[in-house]
Amino acid sequence: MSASTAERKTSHLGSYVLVGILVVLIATRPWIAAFVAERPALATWLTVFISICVQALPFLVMGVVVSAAIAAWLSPSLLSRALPTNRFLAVPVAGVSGMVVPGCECASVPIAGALVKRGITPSAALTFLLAAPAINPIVMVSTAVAFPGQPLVVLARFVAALITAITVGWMWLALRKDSLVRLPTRPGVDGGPLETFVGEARHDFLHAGGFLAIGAAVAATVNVVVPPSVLDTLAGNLIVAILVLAVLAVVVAICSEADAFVAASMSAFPLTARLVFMVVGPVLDVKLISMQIGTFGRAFTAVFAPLTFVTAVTVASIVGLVLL
Amino acid sequence: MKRSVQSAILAVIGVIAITATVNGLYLNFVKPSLRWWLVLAGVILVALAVVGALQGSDDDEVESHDLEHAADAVRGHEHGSGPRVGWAIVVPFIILSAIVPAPLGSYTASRASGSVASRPAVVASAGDSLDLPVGDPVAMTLGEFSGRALFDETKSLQGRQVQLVGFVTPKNADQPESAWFLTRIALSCCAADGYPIKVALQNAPPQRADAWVTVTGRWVPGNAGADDAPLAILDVESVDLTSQPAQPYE
Repeated sequence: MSASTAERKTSHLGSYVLVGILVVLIATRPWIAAFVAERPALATWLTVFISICVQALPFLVMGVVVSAAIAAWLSPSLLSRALPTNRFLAVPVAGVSGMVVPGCECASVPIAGALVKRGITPSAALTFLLAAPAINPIVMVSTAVAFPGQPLVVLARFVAALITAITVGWMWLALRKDSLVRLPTRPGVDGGPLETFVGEARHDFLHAGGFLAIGAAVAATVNVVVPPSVLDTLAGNLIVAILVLAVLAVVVAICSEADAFVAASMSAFPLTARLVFMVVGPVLDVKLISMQIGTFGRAFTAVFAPLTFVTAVTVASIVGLVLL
Repeated sequence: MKRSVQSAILAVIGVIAITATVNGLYLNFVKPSLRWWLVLAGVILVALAVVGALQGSDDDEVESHDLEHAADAVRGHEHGSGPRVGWAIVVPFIILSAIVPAPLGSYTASRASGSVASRPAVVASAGDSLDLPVGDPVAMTLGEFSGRALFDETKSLQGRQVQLVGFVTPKNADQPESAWFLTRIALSCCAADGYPIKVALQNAPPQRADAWVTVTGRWVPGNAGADDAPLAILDVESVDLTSQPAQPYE
Protein backbone atom coordinates (compact mmCIF):
# COMPACT_ATOMS: atom_id res chain seq x y z
CA MET A 1 0.00 0.00 0.00
CA SER A 2 2.86 2.36 0.74
CA ALA A 3 4.10 1.98 -2.85
CA SER A 4 0.86 3.20 -4.33
CA THR A 5 0.66 6.06 -1.83
CA ALA A 6 4.12 7.16 -2.89
CA GLU A 7 3.06 6.85 -6.53
CA ARG A 8 0.05 9.06 -5.87
CA LYS A 9 2.26 11.69 -4.29
CA THR A 10 4.64 11.84 -7.26
CA SER A 11 1.77 11.99 -9.71
CA HIS A 12 0.44 15.02 -7.83
CA LEU A 13 3.79 16.71 -8.38
CA GLY A 14 2.96 17.46 -12.00
CA SER A 15 -0.15 19.41 -11.09
CA TYR A 16 1.67 21.43 -8.43
CA VAL A 17 4.39 22.31 -10.93
CA LEU A 18 1.80 23.39 -13.49
CA VAL A 19 -0.03 25.60 -11.00
CA GLY A 20 3.27 27.03 -9.79
CA ILE A 21 4.38 27.91 -13.32
CA LEU A 22 1.00 29.51 -14.05
CA VAL A 23 1.20 31.68 -10.94
CA VAL A 24 4.75 32.79 -11.74
CA LEU A 25 3.80 33.59 -15.34
CA ILE A 26 0.80 35.67 -14.34
CA ALA A 27 2.74 37.54 -11.68
CA THR A 28 5.69 38.40 -13.92
CA ARG A 29 3.64 39.05 -17.05
CA PRO A 30 4.80 42.62 -17.81
CA TRP A 31 8.45 41.69 -17.44
CA ILE A 32 8.10 38.64 -19.65
CA ALA A 33 6.19 40.64 -22.25
CA ALA A 34 8.91 43.31 -22.30
CA PHE A 35 11.62 40.66 -22.45
CA VAL A 36 10.01 39.07 -25.48
CA ALA A 37 9.28 42.38 -27.19
CA GLU A 38 12.98 43.28 -27.18
CA ARG A 39 13.93 40.03 -28.88
CA PRO A 40 12.22 39.84 -32.28
CA ALA A 41 13.63 36.40 -33.05
CA LEU A 42 12.11 34.96 -29.87
CA ALA A 43 8.83 36.79 -30.49
CA THR A 44 8.68 35.41 -34.02
CA TRP A 45 9.46 31.91 -32.78
CA LEU A 46 6.61 32.11 -30.27
CA THR A 47 4.16 33.44 -32.87
CA VAL A 48 5.00 30.69 -35.38
CA PHE A 49 4.91 27.99 -32.67
CA ILE A 50 1.53 29.12 -31.34
CA SER A 51 0.00 29.61 -34.77
CA ILE A 52 0.69 26.01 -35.84
CA CYS A 53 -0.87 24.72 -32.62
CA VAL A 54 -3.93 26.99 -32.85
CA GLN A 55 -4.46 26.24 -36.55
CA ALA A 56 -4.23 22.49 -35.96
CA LEU A 57 -6.39 22.40 -32.81
CA PRO A 58 -9.84 22.03 -34.45
CA PHE A 59 -8.61 19.25 -36.74
CA LEU A 60 -6.91 17.45 -33.90
CA VAL A 61 -10.04 17.58 -31.78
CA MET A 62 -12.23 16.36 -34.65
CA GLY A 63 -9.91 13.48 -35.45
CA VAL A 64 -9.68 12.42 -31.81
CA VAL A 65 -13.45 12.59 -31.28
CA VAL A 66 -14.22 10.47 -34.34
CA SER A 67 -11.59 7.84 -33.65
CA ALA A 68 -12.66 7.60 -29.99
CA ALA A 69 -16.26 7.17 -31.13
CA ILE A 70 -15.18 4.36 -33.45
CA ALA A 71 -13.22 2.71 -30.66
CA ALA A 72 -16.20 2.96 -28.29
CA TRP A 73 -19.15 2.14 -30.52
CA LEU A 74 -17.97 0.40 -33.67
CA SER A 75 -16.95 -3.22 -33.55
CA PRO A 76 -13.91 -4.23 -35.64
CA SER A 77 -15.88 -7.31 -36.70
CA LEU A 78 -17.85 -5.07 -39.06
CA LEU A 79 -14.69 -4.43 -41.03
CA SER A 80 -13.56 -8.05 -40.93
CA ARG A 81 -16.84 -9.14 -42.53
CA ALA A 82 -16.38 -6.67 -45.37
CA LEU A 83 -13.01 -8.00 -46.48
CA PRO A 84 -12.74 -10.60 -49.27
CA THR A 85 -11.28 -13.98 -48.28
CA ASN A 86 -8.71 -13.91 -51.07
CA ARG A 87 -5.65 -12.55 -49.28
CA PHE A 88 -4.32 -10.78 -52.36
CA LEU A 89 -7.55 -8.88 -52.89
CA ALA A 90 -8.02 -8.17 -49.21
CA VAL A 91 -5.02 -5.85 -49.27
CA PRO A 92 -6.37 -3.15 -51.62
CA VAL A 93 -9.85 -3.39 -50.07
CA ALA A 94 -8.35 -2.86 -46.64
CA GLY A 95 -6.37 0.06 -48.03
CA VAL A 96 -9.36 1.82 -49.52
CA SER A 97 -11.46 1.18 -46.41
CA GLY A 98 -8.94 3.32 -44.56
CA MET A 99 -10.83 6.28 -46.02
CA VAL A 100 -13.82 5.75 -43.75
CA VAL A 101 -11.93 5.50 -40.48
CA PRO A 102 -10.86 9.00 -39.53
CA GLY A 103 -8.43 9.29 -36.70
CA CYS A 104 -4.92 9.51 -35.53
CA GLU A 105 -2.30 6.81 -35.77
CA CYS A 106 -2.96 6.23 -32.07
CA ALA A 107 -6.16 4.42 -33.02
CA SER A 108 -4.96 2.51 -36.06
CA VAL A 109 -2.42 0.31 -34.26
CA PRO A 110 -4.90 -1.01 -31.67
CA ILE A 111 -7.57 -1.47 -34.37
CA ALA A 112 -5.14 -3.40 -36.57
CA GLY A 113 -4.23 -5.51 -33.54
CA ALA A 114 -7.90 -6.23 -32.90
CA LEU A 115 -8.35 -7.21 -36.57
CA VAL A 116 -5.45 -9.66 -36.43
CA LYS A 117 -6.90 -11.16 -33.27
CA ARG A 118 -10.16 -11.76 -35.09
CA GLY A 119 -8.38 -13.71 -37.76
CA ILE A 120 -7.96 -11.11 -40.48
CA THR A 121 -4.95 -11.92 -42.57
CA PRO A 122 -2.08 -9.80 -41.18
CA SER A 123 -1.15 -8.22 -44.51
CA ALA A 124 -4.67 -6.78 -44.88
CA ALA A 125 -4.68 -5.55 -41.29
CA LEU A 126 -1.30 -3.91 -41.79
CA THR A 127 -2.44 -2.26 -45.03
CA PHE A 128 -5.34 -0.82 -43.06
CA LEU A 129 -2.95 0.31 -40.33
CA LEU A 130 -0.96 2.29 -42.89
CA ALA A 131 -3.85 3.68 -44.91
CA ALA A 132 -6.39 4.78 -42.29
CA PRO A 133 -4.36 7.57 -40.68
CA ALA A 134 -3.23 8.89 -44.04
CA ILE A 135 -6.25 9.04 -46.35
CA ASN A 136 -9.24 9.71 -44.11
CA PRO A 137 -11.47 12.75 -44.76
CA ILE A 138 -10.21 14.88 -41.90
CA VAL A 139 -6.63 14.57 -43.11
CA MET A 140 -7.67 15.44 -46.66
CA VAL A 141 -9.57 18.52 -45.46
CA SER A 142 -6.71 19.70 -43.29
CA THR A 143 -4.32 19.29 -46.22
CA ALA A 144 -6.64 21.35 -48.41
CA VAL A 145 -6.77 24.06 -45.74
CA ALA A 146 -3.01 24.03 -45.33
CA PHE A 147 -2.35 24.38 -49.05
CA PRO A 148 -5.15 26.62 -50.31
CA GLY A 149 -5.55 26.80 -54.07
CA GLN A 150 -3.37 23.72 -54.58
CA PRO A 151 -5.72 20.75 -54.95
CA LEU A 152 -2.97 18.68 -56.60
CA VAL A 153 -1.22 18.50 -53.23
CA VAL A 154 -4.30 16.86 -51.70
CA LEU A 155 -4.61 14.44 -54.61
CA ALA A 156 -0.90 13.61 -54.51
CA ARG A 157 -1.06 12.89 -50.79
CA PHE A 158 -4.05 10.60 -51.20
CA VAL A 159 -2.57 8.67 -54.13
CA ALA A 160 0.90 8.32 -52.63
CA ALA A 161 -0.42 7.19 -49.23
CA LEU A 162 -2.80 4.63 -50.71
CA ILE A 163 -0.16 3.19 -53.07
CA THR A 164 2.31 3.00 -50.18
CA ALA A 165 -0.16 1.12 -47.96
CA ILE A 166 -1.13 -1.36 -50.67
CA THR A 167 2.46 -1.89 -51.80
CA VAL A 168 3.64 -2.67 -48.28
CA GLY A 169 0.65 -5.00 -47.77
CA TRP A 170 1.42 -6.96 -50.94
CA MET A 171 5.14 -7.07 -50.16
CA TRP A 172 4.35 -8.40 -46.69
CA LEU A 173 2.18 -11.08 -48.27
CA ALA A 174 4.86 -11.99 -50.82
CA LEU A 175 7.62 -12.13 -48.24
CA ARG A 176 5.46 -14.45 -46.11
CA LYS A 177 6.25 -12.55 -42.92
CA ASP A 178 2.93 -13.33 -41.24
CA SER A 179 4.70 -15.52 -38.70
CA LEU A 180 6.44 -12.42 -37.33
CA VAL A 181 3.15 -10.96 -36.17
CA ARG A 182 2.80 -11.66 -32.48
CA LEU A 183 -0.82 -11.58 -31.35
CA PRO A 184 -1.53 -8.54 -29.16
CA THR A 185 -2.31 -9.16 -25.52
CA ARG A 186 -4.13 -5.93 -24.81
CA PRO A 187 -6.83 -6.51 -22.21
CA GLY A 188 -10.40 -5.41 -22.73
CA VAL A 189 -11.37 -1.94 -21.59
CA ASP A 190 -13.67 -1.53 -18.60
CA GLY A 191 -16.72 0.65 -18.55
CA GLY A 192 -19.55 1.44 -20.90
CA PRO A 193 -19.20 3.01 -24.36
CA LEU A 194 -19.51 6.60 -23.11
CA GLU A 195 -16.78 6.11 -20.54
CA THR A 196 -14.59 4.47 -23.16
CA PHE A 197 -15.28 7.32 -25.58
CA VAL A 198 -14.38 10.07 -23.12
CA GLY A 199 -11.32 8.23 -21.86
CA GLU A 200 -9.99 7.45 -25.33
CA ALA A 201 -10.69 10.97 -26.60
CA ARG A 202 -8.94 12.57 -23.66
CA HIS A 203 -5.96 10.23 -23.86
CA ASP A 204 -5.56 10.56 -27.64
CA PHE A 205 -5.89 14.35 -27.53
CA LEU A 206 -3.09 14.64 -24.99
CA HIS A 207 -0.93 12.09 -26.77
CA ALA A 208 -1.32 13.60 -30.21
CA GLY A 209 -1.39 17.16 -28.89
CA GLY A 210 1.87 16.70 -27.06
CA PHE A 211 3.65 15.47 -30.17
CA LEU A 212 2.04 18.24 -32.21
CA ALA A 213 3.48 20.83 -29.84
CA ILE A 214 6.94 19.27 -30.16
CA GLY A 215 6.65 19.22 -33.95
CA ALA A 216 5.45 22.81 -33.99
CA ALA A 217 8.46 23.81 -31.88
CA VAL A 218 10.78 22.13 -34.37
CA ALA A 219 9.07 23.86 -37.30
CA ALA A 220 9.27 27.22 -35.54
CA THR A 221 12.98 26.67 -34.96
CA VAL A 222 13.50 25.87 -38.65
CA ASN A 223 11.56 29.01 -39.52
CA VAL A 224 13.42 31.39 -37.23
CA VAL A 225 16.79 30.00 -36.23
CA VAL A 226 18.05 28.44 -39.43
CA PRO A 227 19.53 31.22 -41.62
CA PRO A 228 17.82 31.63 -44.99
CA SER A 229 21.09 30.76 -46.79
CA VAL A 230 21.37 27.38 -45.05
CA LEU A 231 17.70 26.67 -45.73
CA ASP A 232 18.18 27.49 -49.41
CA THR A 233 21.13 25.11 -49.69
CA LEU A 234 19.30 22.35 -47.83
CA ALA A 235 16.14 22.83 -49.80
CA GLY A 236 17.86 23.51 -53.10
CA ASN A 237 18.99 19.94 -53.69
CA LEU A 238 15.84 17.85 -54.16
CA ILE A 239 17.32 14.56 -52.95
CA VAL A 240 18.77 16.16 -49.82
CA ALA A 241 15.49 17.97 -49.18
CA ILE A 242 13.50 14.73 -49.50
CA LEU A 243 15.79 12.83 -47.14
CA VAL A 244 15.88 15.65 -44.58
CA LEU A 245 12.09 15.93 -44.42
CA ALA A 246 11.63 12.13 -44.47
CA VAL A 247 13.86 11.78 -41.39
CA LEU A 248 12.19 14.79 -39.80
CA ALA A 249 8.78 13.16 -40.31
CA VAL A 250 9.93 10.08 -38.40
CA VAL A 251 11.49 12.10 -35.61
CA VAL A 252 8.70 14.57 -34.90
CA ALA A 253 5.73 12.17 -34.80
CA ILE A 254 2.99 14.66 -35.62
CA CYS A 255 -0.59 13.48 -35.92
CA SER A 256 -1.75 13.09 -39.50
CA GLU A 257 -4.58 15.60 -38.97
CA ALA A 258 -2.03 18.29 -38.23
CA ASP A 259 1.15 17.50 -40.14
CA ALA A 260 -0.09 19.37 -43.23
CA PHE A 261 0.13 22.63 -41.28
CA VAL A 262 3.70 21.94 -40.29
CA ALA A 263 4.53 21.01 -43.90
CA ALA A 264 2.91 24.22 -45.14
CA SER A 265 5.06 26.28 -42.77
CA MET A 266 8.28 25.01 -44.33
CA SER A 267 7.80 26.98 -47.51
CA ALA A 268 11.52 27.01 -48.35
CA PHE A 269 11.40 23.29 -49.15
CA PRO A 270 10.19 21.99 -52.51
CA LEU A 271 6.64 20.66 -52.68
CA THR A 272 7.75 17.09 -53.42
CA ALA A 273 9.90 16.98 -50.31
CA ARG A 274 6.98 18.28 -48.25
CA LEU A 275 4.76 15.60 -49.80
CA VAL A 276 7.27 12.97 -48.63
CA PHE A 277 7.03 14.49 -45.15
CA MET A 278 3.23 14.12 -45.20
CA VAL A 279 3.29 10.56 -46.55
CA VAL A 280 6.03 9.21 -44.25
CA GLY A 281 4.66 10.83 -41.08
CA PRO A 282 1.39 8.89 -40.73
CA VAL A 283 2.99 5.52 -41.51
CA LEU A 284 6.20 5.70 -39.53
CA ASP A 285 7.44 7.77 -36.63
CA VAL A 286 8.97 7.23 -33.21
CA LYS A 287 5.55 7.04 -31.60
CA LEU A 288 4.29 4.41 -34.06
CA ILE A 289 7.48 2.38 -33.76
CA SER A 290 7.03 2.11 -30.02
CA MET A 291 3.34 1.23 -30.40
CA GLN A 292 4.11 -1.43 -33.00
CA ILE A 293 6.73 -2.99 -30.74
CA GLY A 294 4.15 -3.00 -27.94
CA THR A 295 1.40 -4.54 -30.07
CA PHE A 296 3.22 -6.81 -32.51
CA GLY A 297 6.70 -7.35 -31.07
CA ARG A 298 10.29 -6.36 -31.82
CA ALA A 299 11.00 -8.91 -34.56
CA PHE A 300 8.00 -7.64 -36.48
CA THR A 301 8.91 -3.99 -36.17
CA ALA A 302 12.53 -4.59 -37.18
CA VAL A 303 11.29 -5.68 -40.62
CA PHE A 304 8.13 -3.63 -40.95
CA ALA A 305 9.50 -0.21 -40.07
CA PRO A 306 12.36 0.00 -42.61
CA LEU A 307 10.18 -1.60 -45.29
CA THR A 308 7.50 1.03 -44.73
CA PHE A 309 9.99 3.89 -44.67
CA VAL A 310 11.70 3.00 -47.94
CA THR A 311 8.40 2.35 -49.71
CA ALA A 312 6.84 5.58 -48.49
CA VAL A 313 9.81 7.73 -49.51
CA THR A 314 10.07 6.11 -52.93
CA VAL A 315 6.36 6.20 -53.76
CA ALA A 316 5.90 9.75 -52.49
CA SER A 317 8.93 10.99 -54.42
CA ILE A 318 7.68 9.46 -57.66
CA VAL A 319 4.10 10.72 -57.18
CA GLY A 320 5.44 14.15 -56.27
CA LEU A 321 7.64 14.37 -59.34
CA VAL A 322 4.76 13.31 -61.56
CA LEU A 323 1.93 15.36 -60.09
CA LEU A 324 3.54 18.38 -58.50
CA MET B 1 -0.82 11.99 -15.12
CA LYS B 2 -3.94 11.60 -13.04
CA ARG B 3 -7.30 11.67 -14.74
CA SER B 4 -8.33 14.89 -13.00
CA VAL B 5 -5.18 16.64 -14.23
CA GLN B 6 -5.84 15.40 -17.77
CA SER B 7 -9.34 16.84 -17.67
CA ALA B 8 -8.00 20.09 -16.24
CA ILE B 9 -5.56 20.43 -19.14
CA LEU B 10 -8.35 19.89 -21.67
CA ALA B 11 -10.51 22.46 -19.92
CA VAL B 12 -7.72 25.05 -19.80
CA ILE B 13 -6.95 24.67 -23.51
CA GLY B 14 -10.65 24.76 -24.42
CA VAL B 15 -11.28 27.94 -22.45
CA ILE B 16 -8.20 29.67 -23.84
CA ALA B 17 -9.20 28.72 -27.39
CA ILE B 18 -12.70 30.16 -26.93
CA THR B 19 -11.39 33.29 -25.21
CA ALA B 20 -8.92 33.91 -28.03
CA THR B 21 -11.78 34.08 -30.52
CA VAL B 22 -13.84 36.39 -28.32
CA ASN B 23 -11.08 38.95 -27.74
CA GLY B 24 -9.75 38.72 -31.28
CA LEU B 25 -6.32 37.47 -30.23
CA TYR B 26 -6.61 34.50 -32.56
CA LEU B 27 -6.19 36.87 -35.52
CA ASN B 28 -2.53 37.30 -34.64
CA PHE B 29 -2.02 33.65 -35.59
CA VAL B 30 -4.68 32.33 -37.95
CA LYS B 31 -7.22 33.52 -40.50
CA PRO B 32 -10.67 34.81 -39.49
CA SER B 33 -12.28 31.78 -41.18
CA LEU B 34 -11.04 29.55 -38.37
CA ARG B 35 -13.08 31.37 -35.74
CA TRP B 36 -16.08 29.09 -35.28
CA TRP B 37 -13.96 25.95 -35.67
CA LEU B 38 -11.87 27.14 -32.74
CA VAL B 39 -14.99 27.81 -30.72
CA LEU B 40 -16.32 24.33 -31.54
CA ALA B 41 -13.01 22.71 -30.61
CA GLY B 42 -12.97 24.64 -27.33
CA VAL B 43 -16.52 23.62 -26.48
CA ILE B 44 -15.76 19.95 -27.21
CA LEU B 45 -12.65 20.03 -25.04
CA VAL B 46 -14.49 21.62 -22.12
CA ALA B 47 -17.32 19.09 -22.51
CA LEU B 48 -14.86 16.17 -22.50
CA ALA B 49 -13.25 17.60 -19.37
CA VAL B 50 -16.54 18.07 -17.55
CA VAL B 51 -17.96 14.66 -18.49
CA GLY B 52 -14.66 13.01 -17.63
CA ALA B 53 -14.60 14.69 -14.25
CA LEU B 54 -18.18 13.66 -13.53
CA GLN B 55 -17.63 10.06 -14.58
CA GLY B 56 -15.25 8.81 -11.96
CA SER B 57 -13.09 9.80 -9.06
CA ASP B 58 -9.35 9.20 -9.09
CA ASP B 59 -9.73 6.56 -6.39
CA ASP B 60 -10.98 4.17 -9.05
CA GLU B 61 -7.57 4.36 -10.71
CA VAL B 62 -5.78 2.66 -7.86
CA GLU B 63 -7.89 -0.49 -8.19
CA SER B 64 -7.53 -0.82 -11.93
CA HIS B 65 -3.76 -0.35 -11.80
CA ASP B 66 -2.83 -3.71 -13.30
CA LEU B 67 -5.08 -3.24 -16.31
CA GLU B 68 -3.72 0.26 -16.80
CA HIS B 69 -0.17 -1.07 -16.71
CA ALA B 70 -0.90 -3.58 -19.45
CA ALA B 71 -2.72 -1.02 -21.58
CA ASP B 72 0.08 1.48 -21.09
CA ALA B 73 2.66 -1.07 -22.16
CA VAL B 74 0.80 -1.48 -25.43
CA ARG B 75 0.70 2.24 -25.99
CA GLY B 76 4.39 2.38 -25.28
CA HIS B 77 4.45 4.87 -22.46
CA GLU B 78 5.42 4.59 -18.88
CA HIS B 79 3.58 4.25 -15.59
CA GLY B 80 0.56 6.47 -15.09
CA SER B 81 -2.86 6.61 -16.63
CA GLY B 82 -2.13 9.48 -19.01
CA PRO B 83 0.61 10.29 -21.51
CA ARG B 84 3.28 12.52 -20.04
CA VAL B 85 3.92 14.13 -23.40
CA GLY B 86 0.47 15.67 -23.03
CA TRP B 87 1.98 18.47 -20.94
CA ALA B 88 3.52 19.90 -24.08
CA ILE B 89 0.23 20.86 -25.70
CA VAL B 90 -0.76 23.16 -22.85
CA VAL B 91 2.40 25.27 -23.35
CA PRO B 92 1.43 27.21 -26.49
CA PHE B 93 -2.00 28.08 -25.08
CA ILE B 94 -0.65 29.30 -21.78
CA ILE B 95 1.92 31.43 -23.58
CA LEU B 96 -0.86 32.74 -25.81
CA SER B 97 -2.93 33.96 -22.90
CA ALA B 98 -0.06 35.00 -20.64
CA ILE B 99 2.22 36.90 -22.99
CA VAL B 100 0.09 37.71 -26.05
CA PRO B 101 2.85 37.52 -28.67
CA ALA B 102 2.70 40.13 -31.39
CA PRO B 103 1.89 39.22 -34.99
CA LEU B 104 4.78 38.66 -37.38
CA GLY B 105 6.61 41.90 -38.12
CA SER B 106 9.79 43.40 -39.50
CA TYR B 107 11.97 40.51 -38.32
CA THR B 108 10.18 38.09 -40.62
CA ALA B 109 9.92 40.71 -43.35
CA SER B 110 13.65 41.39 -43.36
CA ARG B 111 14.42 37.72 -44.03
CA ALA B 112 12.71 37.61 -47.42
CA SER B 113 12.57 39.73 -50.55
CA GLY B 114 8.93 40.64 -50.02
CA SER B 115 8.18 40.40 -53.69
CA VAL B 116 4.58 39.66 -54.58
CA ALA B 117 5.92 37.37 -57.33
CA SER B 118 6.31 34.75 -54.60
CA ARG B 119 2.56 34.84 -54.15
CA PRO B 120 1.22 33.57 -57.50
CA ALA B 121 -2.43 34.03 -56.45
CA VAL B 122 -1.96 37.80 -56.22
CA VAL B 123 -0.24 37.98 -59.59
CA ALA B 124 -2.96 35.92 -61.24
CA SER B 125 -5.80 38.04 -59.90
CA ALA B 126 -4.13 41.23 -61.16
CA GLY B 127 -4.63 39.89 -64.66
CA ASP B 128 -8.44 40.04 -64.42
CA SER B 129 -8.43 43.66 -63.30
CA LEU B 130 -11.65 44.65 -61.61
CA ASP B 131 -12.40 48.33 -61.94
CA LEU B 132 -11.25 50.46 -59.04
CA PRO B 133 -14.01 52.22 -57.11
CA VAL B 134 -14.56 55.91 -57.88
CA GLY B 135 -13.13 58.52 -55.50
CA ASP B 136 -9.65 59.25 -54.25
CA PRO B 137 -7.90 58.03 -52.22
CA VAL B 138 -8.89 54.41 -52.91
CA ALA B 139 -7.94 51.98 -50.14
CA MET B 140 -6.46 48.61 -51.06
CA THR B 141 -4.23 45.85 -49.75
CA LEU B 142 -0.51 45.89 -50.45
CA GLY B 143 -0.95 42.68 -52.41
CA GLU B 144 -3.53 44.24 -54.71
CA PHE B 145 -1.45 47.40 -55.11
CA SER B 146 1.69 45.41 -55.98
CA GLY B 147 -0.22 43.18 -58.38
CA ARG B 148 -1.75 46.13 -60.23
CA ALA B 149 1.51 48.11 -60.17
CA LEU B 150 3.70 45.36 -61.57
CA PHE B 151 1.47 43.13 -63.69
CA ASP B 152 -1.65 45.04 -64.76
CA GLU B 153 -1.68 45.71 -68.51
CA THR B 154 -4.55 48.20 -68.21
CA LYS B 155 -2.53 50.38 -65.82
CA SER B 156 -5.55 50.85 -63.61
CA LEU B 157 -3.48 52.75 -61.03
CA GLN B 158 -2.55 55.61 -63.35
CA GLY B 159 -3.72 58.98 -62.11
CA ARG B 160 -5.24 57.52 -58.94
CA GLN B 161 -4.43 58.29 -55.32
CA VAL B 162 -4.19 55.16 -53.17
CA GLN B 163 -4.24 54.56 -49.42
CA LEU B 164 -2.29 51.66 -47.97
CA VAL B 165 -2.00 50.39 -44.39
CA GLY B 166 1.07 48.47 -43.27
CA PHE B 167 4.05 48.43 -40.94
CA VAL B 168 7.59 49.71 -41.31
CA THR B 169 10.44 47.39 -42.29
CA PRO B 170 13.85 49.10 -42.31
CA LYS B 171 15.88 48.76 -45.49
CA ASN B 172 19.19 48.29 -43.73
CA ALA B 173 20.20 47.64 -40.16
CA ASP B 174 22.74 50.54 -39.92
CA GLN B 175 20.22 53.35 -40.39
CA PRO B 176 16.99 51.64 -39.45
CA GLU B 177 14.72 54.67 -39.54
CA SER B 178 15.73 56.57 -42.65
CA ALA B 179 14.83 54.17 -45.46
CA TRP B 180 11.99 51.69 -45.13
CA PHE B 181 9.53 49.49 -46.94
CA LEU B 182 5.81 49.56 -46.32
CA THR B 183 5.06 45.95 -45.43
CA ARG B 184 2.21 43.56 -44.76
CA ILE B 185 2.50 39.84 -44.05
CA ALA B 186 0.38 37.65 -46.32
CA LEU B 187 -0.84 34.26 -45.07
CA SER B 188 -1.36 31.17 -47.12
CA CYS B 189 -2.67 29.01 -44.27
CA CYS B 190 -1.59 30.47 -40.92
CA ALA B 191 1.11 32.74 -39.49
CA ALA B 192 3.65 29.94 -39.73
CA ASP B 193 3.83 30.38 -43.51
CA GLY B 194 3.50 34.15 -43.46
CA TYR B 195 5.31 35.88 -46.33
CA PRO B 196 6.01 39.63 -46.45
CA ILE B 197 4.71 41.88 -49.22
CA LYS B 198 6.86 44.99 -49.51
CA VAL B 199 6.21 48.26 -51.29
CA ALA B 200 9.14 50.60 -51.96
CA LEU B 201 8.54 54.29 -51.14
CA GLN B 202 9.73 57.63 -52.50
CA ASN B 203 9.80 60.77 -50.33
CA ALA B 204 8.87 58.94 -47.15
CA PRO B 205 9.77 60.57 -43.79
CA PRO B 206 11.82 58.47 -41.31
CA GLN B 207 9.81 56.01 -39.23
CA ARG B 208 10.53 53.58 -36.39
CA ALA B 209 10.72 49.88 -37.26
CA ASP B 210 7.43 47.96 -36.83
CA ALA B 211 5.36 51.14 -36.53
CA TRP B 212 1.92 50.81 -38.15
CA VAL B 213 1.19 53.57 -40.66
CA THR B 214 -1.43 54.70 -43.15
CA VAL B 215 0.29 55.92 -46.32
CA THR B 216 -1.39 57.94 -49.04
CA GLY B 217 0.33 58.40 -52.37
CA ARG B 218 0.49 57.68 -56.09
CA TRP B 219 1.88 54.81 -58.10
CA VAL B 220 5.28 55.26 -59.77
CA PRO B 221 5.84 52.85 -62.66
CA GLY B 222 8.98 50.76 -62.27
CA ASN B 223 10.56 47.96 -60.29
CA ALA B 224 12.48 48.64 -57.07
CA GLY B 225 13.56 45.03 -56.61
CA ALA B 226 15.34 42.32 -58.59
CA ASP B 227 14.09 41.12 -61.99
CA ASP B 228 12.73 37.88 -60.54
CA ALA B 229 11.56 39.54 -57.30
CA PRO B 230 9.96 42.82 -58.35
CA LEU B 231 8.75 45.44 -55.87
CA ALA B 232 6.17 48.14 -56.59
CA ILE B 233 6.91 51.83 -55.98
CA LEU B 234 4.71 54.42 -54.28
CA ASP B 235 5.37 58.18 -54.24
CA VAL B 236 4.35 59.25 -50.74
CA GLU B 237 2.08 62.24 -50.15
CA SER B 238 1.28 61.68 -46.46
CA VAL B 239 2.13 59.26 -43.68
CA ASP B 240 0.03 58.91 -40.52
CA LEU B 241 0.76 56.71 -37.54
CA THR B 242 -2.05 54.28 -36.86
CA SER B 243 -2.74 51.39 -34.53
CA GLN B 244 -2.29 47.73 -35.46
CA PRO B 245 -5.42 46.54 -37.27
CA ALA B 246 -7.48 43.81 -35.62
CA GLN B 247 -6.57 41.66 -38.60
CA PRO B 248 -2.85 42.31 -39.06
CA TYR B 249 -2.34 39.90 -42.00
CA GLU B 250 -3.45 39.96 -45.62
